Parts: sequence; structure tokens; C-alpha cells
Amino acid sequence: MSGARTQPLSLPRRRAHGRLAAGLLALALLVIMCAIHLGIGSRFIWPGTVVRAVFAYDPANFDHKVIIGLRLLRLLSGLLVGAALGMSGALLQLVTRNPLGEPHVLGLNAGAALAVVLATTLGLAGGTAFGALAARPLVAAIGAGLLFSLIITASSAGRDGLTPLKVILCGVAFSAFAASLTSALLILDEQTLADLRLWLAGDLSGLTYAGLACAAVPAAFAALGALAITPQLNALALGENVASGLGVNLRRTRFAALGAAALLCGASVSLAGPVGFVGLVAPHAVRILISRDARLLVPLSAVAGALILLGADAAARTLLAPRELATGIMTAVLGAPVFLLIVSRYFR
Amino acid sequence: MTSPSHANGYRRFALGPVALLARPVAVLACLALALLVMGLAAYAVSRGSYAIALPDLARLLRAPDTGTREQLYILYDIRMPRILIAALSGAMLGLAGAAMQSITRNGLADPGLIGVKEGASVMVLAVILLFPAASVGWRPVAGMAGGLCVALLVILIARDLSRTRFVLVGIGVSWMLSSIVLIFLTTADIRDVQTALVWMTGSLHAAGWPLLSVAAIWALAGTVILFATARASDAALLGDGAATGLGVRLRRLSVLRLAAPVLMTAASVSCVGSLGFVGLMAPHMARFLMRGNQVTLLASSALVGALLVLAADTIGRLAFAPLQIPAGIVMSVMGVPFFLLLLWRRRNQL
Amino acid sequence: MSPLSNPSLVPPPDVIRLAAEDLAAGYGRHAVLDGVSLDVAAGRFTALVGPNGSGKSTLLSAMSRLLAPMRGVVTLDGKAIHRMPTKALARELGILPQNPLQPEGLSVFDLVSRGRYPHQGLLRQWSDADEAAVERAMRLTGTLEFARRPVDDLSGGQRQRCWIAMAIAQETQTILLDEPTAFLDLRYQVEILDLLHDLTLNHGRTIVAVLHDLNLAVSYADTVVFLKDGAIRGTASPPADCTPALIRDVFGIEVLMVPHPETGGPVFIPRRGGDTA
Repeated sequence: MSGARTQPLSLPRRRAHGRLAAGLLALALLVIMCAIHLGIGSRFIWPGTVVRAVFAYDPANFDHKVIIGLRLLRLLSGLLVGAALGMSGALLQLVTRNPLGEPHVLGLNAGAALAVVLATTLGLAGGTAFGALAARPLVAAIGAGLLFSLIITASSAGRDGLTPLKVILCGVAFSAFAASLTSALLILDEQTLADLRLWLAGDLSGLTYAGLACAAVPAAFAALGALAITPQLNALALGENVASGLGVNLRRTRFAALGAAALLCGASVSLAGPVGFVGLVAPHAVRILISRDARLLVPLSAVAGALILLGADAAARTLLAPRELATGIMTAVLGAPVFLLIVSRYFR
Repeated sequence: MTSPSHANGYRRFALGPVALLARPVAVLACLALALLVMGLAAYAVSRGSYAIALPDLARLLRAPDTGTREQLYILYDIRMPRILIAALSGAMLGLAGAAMQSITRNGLADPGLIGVKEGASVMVLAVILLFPAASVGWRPVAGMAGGLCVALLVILIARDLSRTRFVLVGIGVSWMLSSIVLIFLTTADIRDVQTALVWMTGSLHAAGWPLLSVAAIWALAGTVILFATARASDAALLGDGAATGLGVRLRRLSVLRLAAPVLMTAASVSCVGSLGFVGLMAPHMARFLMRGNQVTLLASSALVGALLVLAADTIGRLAFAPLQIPAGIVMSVMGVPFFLLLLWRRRNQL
Repeated sequence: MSPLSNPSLVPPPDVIRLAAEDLAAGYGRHAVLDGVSLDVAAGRFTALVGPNGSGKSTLLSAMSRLLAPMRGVVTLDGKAIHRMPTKALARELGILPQNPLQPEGLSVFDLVSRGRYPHQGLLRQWSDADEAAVERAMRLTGTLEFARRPVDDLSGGQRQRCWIAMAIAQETQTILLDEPTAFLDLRYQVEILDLLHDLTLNHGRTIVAVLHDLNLAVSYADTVVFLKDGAIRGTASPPADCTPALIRDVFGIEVLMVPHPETGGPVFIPRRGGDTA
């Protein structure tokens, strides 16, 4: 939103106000969702108590201790994962100019999972527990980036370049390949399976503050980078030739956007495992409800992504209570129908 | 001057009311493939943690009473059903892929790509988890019901078989269903989940005679349908207009030619779990080996499919012994490079 | 020897083979044709012409059962075609659609022999009659020499001859063709039309074809049917009956009619936009 005001090509005033209001509304929704999310658990805590726990912490109050000591970590991780996935989805859709662009569809999740499993199996991630934690987002990002660049290279072949169908078919094939290798590694190495089983289901559990911090740093850098190149991404939406004509360096923009997407995806995978479809739904929701302008789309996709992920996580923990579903399952149940909707809208 | 069919390498085979036109080259190539499948099967039977030398194997097959109890057990109760079911499900997947590719006129169509497998998986899992006491014979029935429902759903959403949307809708539906599978796996009792997991990864070591006979019945039904409609589908490849002009009943043909592969894929998934890429690879490899009409394509795809699954199972069983890698994993590691090759060849059309 | 290749069996010109009565047809709910009636004479070459969107292809599709009529009936020798079993009809009426699909790598012989599908059964898949019909069709169309080659390797004209050979091998009395000369060089257009003309003249076939070149239609067909806006605006039989007024009405252009220097038949030359009569 601040981006919209500082740009020389500012939007017409009234529409800008409407969008500002929509953005603020999204943020307000997110705050409310946070309060609900903190309240949910084996014992429901009312939002009033939640707010008091955050702003006037009373160590003697058991509810306050549960919220700050146990649930806050899950909330913060959920915020980070959702925001990172939403933003990475927005970047991928803008760069590949493909409405179906998304870390899960495009194989980034599978690549990240394979890289982490491989690193764990080979013991590459350093001897100490902290070393492993700190390295995991980067390892995941490298895996995601490598697999994704393979997919992009393979699907750029041919006369028409990067068509949506080719990207998706390559994404499905490479994801299957990476997933098979991951399964094979896990079958051959029981220790890794024991270490990573929970994480591979795509779930917000088994978190630590150290892990959160290790993921937050690269994610923050990537987010700043992504926000900085949004004007170029806007130009890219008009087509490659027009963008070059407007003085955009195509190669550098693409590289920066894909690098940021891979880092964001790696950070989220390192925390929550492969969670799909948040990156698909969030940018589309923003585009339909608020704006197609990349300068708004990228930051608001992060907000929407966080909102969706927290909602899915809350649903996953309450729908079949006392059993908990993995968060990734819930996002897929919500996201796959959206994928179908988009397919039937864009491919006639 | 020879007749044009003769000049084109065809020979007519007539017997009573039956008169067929076939290429001796193709017949010989199929025989060679069949020999290859049998050779690989014999090798696979003989190898494993308990080796049976090939001469011993021949003797045991000819005169079973000469073997030790242990040899007979390994041969008849463990390895033979497993290897037969590997070949059978491979053949079913190959046939299904060939039929699907011709009816959708889409070289990338594969019953596995459009969610049939996941649909069958959901139903079979429901049977395993909700009725743990049910016999394995119910699995194919449940799986086929699930597979058919999903295929119908995909067709209803996509509305058109030959377009991009068909494949994409299939991918989306299979994602949705795999998340339902995951719900089952994460909420059910842990012992049932283990049974389910063994089945899901496309492992063949649960194979036994009862399962084999159930699978064989469905394989036979599907094969009869496909071979009986092979010539009509040759005509259908010329386009809807030309096919109607030749007197093909397109609607009935499409129903039969979609139902048969869906049933066979679902039957194979229900028996041995999810084996990806076979239905995609087998017909393309078959076409690479020999050109010809649907009958040739179906026969050779079935043989190539059997060969592929048998090879994948044998590699998975022997390469990392004593650990066993499920055939499904070996298959997708082999399948993806092949898929890319296909994609590369049609890079200008997609 | 097929009865069809015997010139003495060419039917007299007043027999009606294929007829449409009060036909309405279209796509979805939109009727392209409304109330069209047309009689096609046996053993003649009938050409359908008209501007784009005039409904000529729709008429051909409805007359060949590719399209179910919304109203009206199409009869072949007095029987309603939409009620006949499709395989039985396929032994009487052949169709060549405008853009048939070419399976990759299909050889010319395989393509032509697919024309025999309506004559074959599950058990008797190849008879002497099949062999003879395929050979005759390939000889007639001059495709015998490249019988082994894949269809996609051939030139446009050769390819179209292969498809016509398939339709001939079907051995139907009547053949309907949708723009058989579209996208072909002039030389191949003439080649194909010579072939169709020969089929009516020497082999007693009834041919209905959608054509886009007015002068070629007029010089080859026995009857030219003019369509515009889903209705028949005029029928020229013989085609020498065409008038510039009819052409102006149907195509919306001014034409000059001059006699062909050799045959004396009419030739139409469009006037340039600025010229006045």
C-alpha cells in the first residue's frame, strides 16, 4: 500500500482509497484470525482472554501460560509459512504468467522435501542440532530452486515457450520423480524416516523458536527483494516484448523473482513441510477481490496466504477433534477445487 | 502384380468364417516380446533370498513332487503368484494406456493421470480401514467402483476428452483425492494404516492366488472389450466426421473404450497399489517397436507393460536386498525421464 | 467387377437419390439452416456454393447425419437416414469431412483399407471383396504407387486423393464431400475435381460437394446450389443457367459474365469495387 503511494504512476484516487480500505480490512481479518487461532486447542480460550494474555501477561494465569508458552509459537510459524507461501505463489504466477503457478504445482515443495531428506540422510546439515535447523531453510530453498529451474528449462523447450500445460506436466512429472526418490531414501534409511516423518506430512507441529528464527531471516530478505521488483513484474505482465521496451531487464527480474520464490518456499517447507495450494489460492483471491497490480498483489498475497493457512490450521485441529489432521491436508482439500475452478475458467 | 495388401506386408489368415489380415512382422515381434516376458519371469522366479537354479526350476515345474517342501512353498506360494500378478497388472496398465491414448487422441493421457488411481485408492482404503475383516477379493470391486466414479467426475467437469482441460482437470481431481487418502492415513488406527501403506506404494509382496484370480477375471473382460472394438477405434482415429461416415457408433465406442481402461486400471491399482507411468510408457514404447493398427498396438502395449512392471518389481526386490523397494518407486524413477522425452518430442504442440 | 464401374448402369438423370425436406439444423440452440429443401439427382455432381457462414457445410453435415436435424427429414432412396442403423447407412452413403484427422505414421494402404470398415465383421475382417475394392479405389485415384508411404509425408494434393480413395473404397452409391479442394494449389484442385467428375460420369456415383471456387463449381458440377443465410437462393441446373443477378444476390458482389473460350460455359469475373456497370 505504501508502494502504491510512492510510485510515480499512482492509481486514481478513489480506487486507491477502496483498495487501501480492502487491504486494511484484510489485515484486520488477519488479526481476528490470529486471536481465534490462539484460542483453539485441546481447551478453547475466548478471544478476550487471548488479547489480555498478549498485552497484559499474567504468569499466574494458566490460560495465559498456555497461550504464550505453547500456542504463540504455532501462530507465529503459521503466519510465516502462510505469508511466505502466498507471496511465493504470487511471484510464480507473475513470472511464469501462468494462473496455475504455485509452489506445489510447480514442484518446489517436492524439490525442497527431497533436498532436506537427502541432507539429513547424508548428515550434511552439520553435527549440531542448531546447525541442522539453521541450514534447513537454505537446503530446502536450494532443492526447490534446483528442481524448479529444471522444470522451467524442460518446459521452455519448443516453439511456443513456456505454456501452462507444459509447465504443469513437467511439474507433475518432476514432483513424482522427487517424491519417489524421497520415498526410496526413507525406505533405505530408517533413522531419517524416524526424524522426518512428522515434518513430511506438512504439519505445523514439532516447532521451535530457533527453527522459526532460522526460517524468518531468509524469508524476510526474500520478501524485501520481492517487494522491490514489483514495478518490473507489472511491466512483465504486459508481455516480454513490452517489458523489454519499457527498459526492464528480463533476465535479472526473472532471476530475482524466482530466487525470492524459492527462498520463501524453502523457509516455509523447513518449518511446516510441504504444504500445498496456499500459494495458488491466495493470489487469486487478492486478484479477484482487490487488485491485479503487482505492487498490491505481492504484499496482499502474503496477508491472504497467512489468513488461509491459519484458517486451514484451525479447521484441521477442530474438524475431527480430538484428532488432528495435518495442515497440508486441509489446504489441499480447500485448494484442489480452486485449482479445478481456475482450470475450467482459463482453459476452454 | 501382387495385391496391395500383400505388397504392404500383410498376409491374410483365414479359417472357416474367420478371416484376418495381419503383418507377419508384427506377429513375430509380439512373439519375441512374449518370449522376453517369459524369460524375465523365469529369471525373477529363480532369484531372491532363496535362490532356485534354472534347471531346478524347470524340473520343479515339470514334476512338482521332486522338490523339497521349502522349494515348493517358495515357488508356488510366494514367487509365482507375485510374478504372475506383476505381469498381469503390467499388461492391464499397458492396455489401459493404449486405449485411453487412442480414444482421447492425446498421447499424454493415462488413466493414472486423470485420478482413476486415486479414486480406486480411496475406495480400497475405505474397505481396508472400515472393514478390516473383508477379504482381498472385495478390493478390486471397490477400487473399480471408485475409479469409474472419478473418471465420470473428470469427464463431467472437463466436458471434452481431447483438450488440455481434460488432463488438467484430471490432475486437480487426483490432488483432491490424494488429500482424502491422507486424511484416512493420518486419522485411522496405526495398524490398519500400515496395511494400507504397504498396499499404497505399489508393492507386490502381498500377492497371492485369490487376488490373482480376481485380477485375471477383470483383465479378461477388459481385454475382450478392447480387442472387439479395436477396428472401430482405428476408424475413430480419423476424426468424428470420418468415423461416423464409416458407420462407427461413436457414443457407444467412447463409453466402452473409456470404461475398459478405467476398470482395468482400477483393478490393477486395487491388486498391487499405485504403479505410475506404465500406462503412459508402454504404448509409446510399443509404437516405437512396431507400427500398426489398434490390434497390434494393444497386443504389444500389453506385453511391454508386463515387461516393465516385471522388471521394476524384480529390480526393487533384488537391487537393495534384503531391503525391498516398492515397484511403484522404481517405476516412477524410470518413468520420469521417459515422460520428459515424450514432452520433448511434442514440445511444439503443447 | 463392381456394378459401380460399369457405365451402362449409370442411373437416368431424373431419379432422386438424396433429398432434404424442410430441414432445420444448427449448433446448440442456434439454427443455421431453416426450412431447406433440396433434391439431389442420382449419378450427378451437385456443388453447394455460398459465402462464409451461408450454411453450406451445415447442410452437408445434416444430409450426412453428422448433425441431427432440429426439424425436417433427410431421405436416401426414400428412407430417412437419421433412423437407419449407422453401419447400414455407411454402405450406402460415404462422407469426407473437411478436416479429417491424420493419425501419425498411418500408411496410405492402411488409410484406404479403413474405408472397408462398414463391410467387415468381427470375424470376417478381410475378404476378397475388400481387397478388390481397395485396389480399385487406389488405382482410380492414382495412389497405388505410394501405398506404403505414410500419409503425412505426402503433398496436400496426394493426401486429399488418399482420403478420396478411402471414400471410394467404401463403395457407396453416394459420396458427400466438404470442401475437398480447400487449401490446395490450383493444379491439385483441378486434379480432384477431374476425379470427382469422372466418378459421376463413368462410375455412376452421386457426388455432393461443398466448393468455394465459383468458377470451378460452375465448370465441373451438373447442378450448382446457391446458399445464403441458411436458405437456398437459387439452383442452376445446368450451371449455364447462372446469372450475374443471382451471384450478386448471393455473394454481394458485382460480376461480369463472359463465355468460356473453349466450352462456351459461363465464367464470372468480379468487378473492382470502384467500377460501375
